[in-house]
Amino acid sequence: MLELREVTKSYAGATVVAPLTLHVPAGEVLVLLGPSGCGKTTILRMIAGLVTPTSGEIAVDGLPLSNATIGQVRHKLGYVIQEGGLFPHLTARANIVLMARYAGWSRERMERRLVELVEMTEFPPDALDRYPTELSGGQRQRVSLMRALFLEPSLLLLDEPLGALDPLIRAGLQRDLKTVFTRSGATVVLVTHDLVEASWFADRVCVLEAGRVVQEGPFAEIVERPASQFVREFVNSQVVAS
Amino acid sequence: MGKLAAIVVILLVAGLVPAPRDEVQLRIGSKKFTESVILSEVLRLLTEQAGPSVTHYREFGGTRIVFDALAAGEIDAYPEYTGTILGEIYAGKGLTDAESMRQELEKLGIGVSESLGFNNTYALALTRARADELGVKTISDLVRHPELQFALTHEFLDRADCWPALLKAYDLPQKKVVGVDHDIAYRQLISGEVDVIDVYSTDAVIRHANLVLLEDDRQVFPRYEAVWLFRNDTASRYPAFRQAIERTAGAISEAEMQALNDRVESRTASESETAALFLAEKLGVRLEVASTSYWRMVVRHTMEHLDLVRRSLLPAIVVGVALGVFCQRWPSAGRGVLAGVGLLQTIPSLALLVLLLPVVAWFGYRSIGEGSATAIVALFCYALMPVVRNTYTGLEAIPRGVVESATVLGLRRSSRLAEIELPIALPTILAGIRTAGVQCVGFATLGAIIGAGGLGQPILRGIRVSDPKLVLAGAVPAALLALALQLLLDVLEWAVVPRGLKRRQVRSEL
Repeated sequence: MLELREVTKSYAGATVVAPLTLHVPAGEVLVLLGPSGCGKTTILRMIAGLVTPTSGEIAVDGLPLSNATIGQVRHKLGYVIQEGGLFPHLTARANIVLMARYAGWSRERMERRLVELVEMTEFPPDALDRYPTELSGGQRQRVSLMRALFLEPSLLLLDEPLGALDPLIRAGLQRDLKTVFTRSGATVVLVTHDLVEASWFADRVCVLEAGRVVQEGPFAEIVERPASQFVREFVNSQVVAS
Repeated sequence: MGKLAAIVVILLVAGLVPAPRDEVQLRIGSKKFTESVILSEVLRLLTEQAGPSVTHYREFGGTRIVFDALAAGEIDAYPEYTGTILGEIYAGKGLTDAESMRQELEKLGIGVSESLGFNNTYALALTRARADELGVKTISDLVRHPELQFALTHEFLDRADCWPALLKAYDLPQKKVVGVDHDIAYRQLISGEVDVIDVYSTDAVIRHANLVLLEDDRQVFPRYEAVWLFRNDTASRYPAFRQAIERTAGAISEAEMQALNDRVESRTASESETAALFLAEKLGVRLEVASTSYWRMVVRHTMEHLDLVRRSLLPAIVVGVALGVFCQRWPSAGRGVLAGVGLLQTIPSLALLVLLLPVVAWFGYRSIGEGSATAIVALFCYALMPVVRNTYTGLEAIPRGVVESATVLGLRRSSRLAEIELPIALPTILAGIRTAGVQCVGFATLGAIIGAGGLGQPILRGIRVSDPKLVLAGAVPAALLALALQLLLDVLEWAVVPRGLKRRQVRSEL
């Protein structure tokens, strides 16, 4: 579903992402795990076409990413970031249906899909006509998620989607997100620095250190058999803290 | 996108369509002092009663601006003084006699009329009582009275052809000479503190205060004969115009000009009424002068003012927003644009107007007069800066995540701009438009300097004839217009800015 071949990124000679080769099969939830500055967000942004790789190739659904294909590829993508990235001048509803409007969907079709998603994300329907500033942090992330899912993308990219939330809200959304992943059937790449999130969501985890994948595998394996001193310390620091 | 295009079209059409204007055959200008305005009114009335329609661009500048307008064919005639032509317009050319002056002007297609009959030059004046008491009639007579106290203007003392020349030519013995302002010298003369002051020979005060001018019996002072400068081509096209010029030759004496100036400056009558009175008494031409009421005048100037603001502000909004978008999208080139637009605003407004005059004329647009392109271009330049800067700032302030979300959703650049970025930046852009608009209403009063009409016109005239009522007739509506514009934009903002962009609401955490 998602292929990265020898993808690198460097800024002014400094390597941010070392040669990275990844294969993500359809339906898998892959978590990119690591401390801030490890390059995980840059990888996600390269897949979204917001950052151009210095070298290497990225393909989504067999379609190689380039200037010519970027529009086509983006039709397959859903993208959710930490602060939601909602359009402040549009209501929750208008945010969600924006692209369907461009795609020429009928009002009925939009309404049907909206009802489906509201139910899937456990969003209060009466809040649909509120503006982002009138919503709670958790509600904003749910709107962002609905917007990303509206046109049924096959690949969902999430960058610290729970990062800006209070613990209680975070727990609720974390639970609901998992349901959404399962029900939407999309392939998911999720970026986080949080071990609990990784353990909760991941089919497979890639641990990154300074732009390099240092360990890759199921979550249990990462915790039980850390491949390096770095991975051990990274795991322990969060286990001790919690 | 369609909505944005519609807004642009509406703004441009509303901003660029000129107001309907009466077709005019002849244009006469005047400089910004009373005598010049009265003389041009005389020529206007005299020409019009013979047929052709004439517009008088009143008091729209100093010598340079008015002469250049004549040379460029933007006006067809204005009153000038021979001394000014030789000493100012052709300064440094070494012209001394009337014939070489005539030839020089001929090259520009400009004709010179015969003298109107008076010489508006420098003169020394005493009160009639004092002059009779001393028995002085000429400047030579002063030599017999070394005790006399002189109060002279600084300009008079400094000019080589005035005081230094007098001292030399008449060998004046007076020691008590002070340099003061004209107003003060005049008051000191009336109160008897000083005996002799300098005046212009057609000053209204001469008649007003019953002063006596001393004859320049050795002809030291330069000649400032009043003449018409006019376009030869126009004069041959409109015989009525040429005849009017000819009829005024030798028609006005110095004393008569003093009386006419006094009528206007004592606010006994308007320039038009004064000109009509002169025509009736001296040339036997009787005509009705429509005296416009105070309120009519205020309304007319307000409409002219609105027209100036409309035609500069609306295009400035479209261009300003476009430039703001450009600056944000191409930051390196944008820095240059921002600096350039900022620089425009640092040029003093008066200088900008004068600098633009030849540029506008070169492009073939009307540079002076009502609705002149110069005033509109200058106002446009000033209005640009706040709109460009606020558009740029507003776009820059949009969080990166919002723009990137729009990008990954698949919105194309143009749709992203029209649907996401500009609407989010709208409150900031509107604030810029408000600043630009209020400034524009204020600056537009300066348009009067080049005859562009508007509320600056009564202000200028009010200053000239020291009439506070006229100054207020310009200043008050201008202030009200600025307020009204601000209010209008507040209402617009309230109507078009969605709730989500207004003051942050209290969030209810769920």
